Amino acid sequence: MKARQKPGVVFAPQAAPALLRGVQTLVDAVRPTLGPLAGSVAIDHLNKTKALPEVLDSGGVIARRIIELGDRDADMGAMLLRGLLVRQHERIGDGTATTAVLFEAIFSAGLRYIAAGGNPMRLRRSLERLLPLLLKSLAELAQPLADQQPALTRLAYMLCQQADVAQVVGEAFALAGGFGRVEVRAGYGRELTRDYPEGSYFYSGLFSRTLATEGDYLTLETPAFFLCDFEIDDYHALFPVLQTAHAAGLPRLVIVARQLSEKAIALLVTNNRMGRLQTAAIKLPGLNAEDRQAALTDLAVLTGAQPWYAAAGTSLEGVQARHFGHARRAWADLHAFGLVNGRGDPRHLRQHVAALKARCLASDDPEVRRNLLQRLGTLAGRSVIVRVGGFTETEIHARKNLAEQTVAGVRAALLGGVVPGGGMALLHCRAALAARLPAVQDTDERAACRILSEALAAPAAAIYRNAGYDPGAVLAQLAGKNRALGFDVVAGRVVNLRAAGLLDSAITLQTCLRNAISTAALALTVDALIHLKQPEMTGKPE
Amino acid sequence: MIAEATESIYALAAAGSTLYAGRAGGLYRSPDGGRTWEDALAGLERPPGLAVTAIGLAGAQLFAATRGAVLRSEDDGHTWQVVGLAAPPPPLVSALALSPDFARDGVLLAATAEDGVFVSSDRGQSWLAWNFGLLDTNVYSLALSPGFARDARVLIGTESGIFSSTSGGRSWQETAFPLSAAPVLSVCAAGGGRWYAGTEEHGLFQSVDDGHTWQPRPLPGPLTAINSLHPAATGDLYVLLEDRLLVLRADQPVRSAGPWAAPAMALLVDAPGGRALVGGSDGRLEWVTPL
Repeated sequence: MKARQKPGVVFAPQAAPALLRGVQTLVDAVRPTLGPLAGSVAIDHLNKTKALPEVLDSGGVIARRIIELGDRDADMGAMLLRGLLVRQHERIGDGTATTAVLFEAIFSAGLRYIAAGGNPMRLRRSLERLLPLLLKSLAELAQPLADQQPALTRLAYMLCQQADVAQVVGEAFALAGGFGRVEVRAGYGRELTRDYPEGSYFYSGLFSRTLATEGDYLTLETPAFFLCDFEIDDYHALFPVLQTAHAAGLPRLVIVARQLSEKAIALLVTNNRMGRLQTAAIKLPGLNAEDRQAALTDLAVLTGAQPWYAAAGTSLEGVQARHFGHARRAWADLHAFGLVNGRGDPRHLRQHVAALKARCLASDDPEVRRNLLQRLGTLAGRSVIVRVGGFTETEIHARKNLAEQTVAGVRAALLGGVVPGGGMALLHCRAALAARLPAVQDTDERAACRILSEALAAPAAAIYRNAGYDPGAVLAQLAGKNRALGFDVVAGRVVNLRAAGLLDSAITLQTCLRNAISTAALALTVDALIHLKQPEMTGKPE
Repeated sequence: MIAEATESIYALAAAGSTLYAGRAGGLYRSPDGGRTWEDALAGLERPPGLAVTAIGLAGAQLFAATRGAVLRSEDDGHTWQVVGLAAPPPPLVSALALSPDFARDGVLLAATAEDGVFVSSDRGQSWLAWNFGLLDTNVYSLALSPGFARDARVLIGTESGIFSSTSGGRSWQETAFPLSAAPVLSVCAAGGGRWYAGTEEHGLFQSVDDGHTWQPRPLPGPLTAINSLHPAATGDLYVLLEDRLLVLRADQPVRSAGPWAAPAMALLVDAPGGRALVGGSDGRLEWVTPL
């Protein structure tokens, strides 16, 4: 929640310049982080308990930390852009500085056009109409990224500028692929480490430590699996399951259920002591019904089990041996469990994985994609855990953020392809606008073409300026050259961008364009600012 | 000890003039081109009926795959060491493959019919399960690229198709092999990015892009299971079907041998002579010259 203020309304012509002031202030704070020779930004700690300021080099994190400007009219413009950048940072983790620079270029040029007599609503529609053209142009530039480690490491380095993070992320994706599960966790030591867990694992553990055999841990060789989403209160309900397993001569059984009463757990512990059938009971993964359904489906496909659904009946009478699934090995502790070499039908598993991949590629919702990617990594046994260490908690936190962004960027590049980096892809998109311009009669659409054409050069110019080069001179060097070429600000010369590994994710740049154009177009139509007593804040600063 | 004539033959290998045959009852050695056979595991205490399902040879080093373990010998099979793959032991090791640069890197891979792929990088002294990303652990065949030392490429044939690795087996990717044509019983590399795969019911497939995409190659006659493939140095491809042997040149059948009543299981090609030693499920062991 932001500080209290006096309510009020600001009308045109003051509203638009105020918004622009705020946008420019935020963009000026984020712009220095663009490019491989970018600067960083020092910012006071919000809670004031730490003497040293935070030094940040991520546009998304900087935007997140700036929660209020002193000028409350300008603050509204800054917060409009901040909300956009925070959402983009949360969803794809990369490209926030590019979005900010694009937004500012479109918004400021648009306001100039409106001040000269242009119609804001018609300009907005024209800008929105041109967006698909630019997205198509970017898609045409995209090429698949080689899944070899050197190429992935180079791309990761471009994204994070830290050799150890790039090395680990490059290796992780070389093994796990674009659909792999790469988790970034805070580590305990000082180093950056990675684990490749064998098989598939889920975040849900044993119902009770009394079921564990080695402290809080349990391993079972060649276990059978019984899967259900039942909440089992009455321990008698388990009798048919245990009797069927016993009759089938199964030595070990894992029961996965939504809930198990203490009496039911006690029954399993007692049964284990008898030594004829060793059992383990595991809580069905998932916080909501949809997640639980997905986990049950995935476990069934992996193990070949036939799940029992509470929606189809309340009794486990009728359980047969053919309903059990199997695996070579299972393990569990109080927080997680996993299985190795599930005995499900491999054809069914491959079809299930293919269907999830198709859903993932077709989905625009980042949360849905994240869930599907996690499931895909689990099903395929492609999981990597990256543990980020450091000397201080602050360092660990910052490096973990950086690693997460790098993971998101590399994944996006693997799934959606790559385009020439260093702002060159956006520059190339200007050709599509130039080709369209002669056929455009409408004045506002012609203005939109010109505004976007100028804005598309802004990220490259910022990269050159941040590295100490004159953007005009560099762009003049590149004029008329092969589209594969671009300026490497680190080497200080024109290079083949693909050969030099200077690439951007096509998906990330498309998101930048979509966010910047649609939000700037909307902001251009604002005529009045209304101040509330205590405005809400989008996204937490931490 | 002479092999029982009816014991199925699963694998054949040659080191100079010495032949080895993996049978349902163990491993047998013939110093005279197959006229006489002796028990090659004589120095090893073992349970009766220990089948040898795959053989690997590199100089004096000899590897024999059995249930859940790989037997290794460094003295032409006079003494043996048993190295378990994992606990519980995989019931069937379906294939063994040594790196073409084995003398230097000591890498060999074992495919298992239920537990995926195991890799050893210390000449078979220890093994690790390497199934990262492998959606199908029912592996029936395994082949390494001739340039394995450079490209680390491995292809495996499984119950549901073909998977490839460009990291020496460290991680696996699906290929575009049609699911409907699986299972894949045999796979081999012919060099220059060309690979062949033999299926149980759908004949021979070929890839010219290092296993990414696959196209069927028509074969004459009924399509029985292709149990073994062998690319000869001459460029010919030996295709062992259950009932006959075909030799393809430029993908066209030019010679054949058979038919046989009992399924042919194992193949060894005598490269200079163009002869082939064929082992059958009925214990038949026969030199044939395709005509």
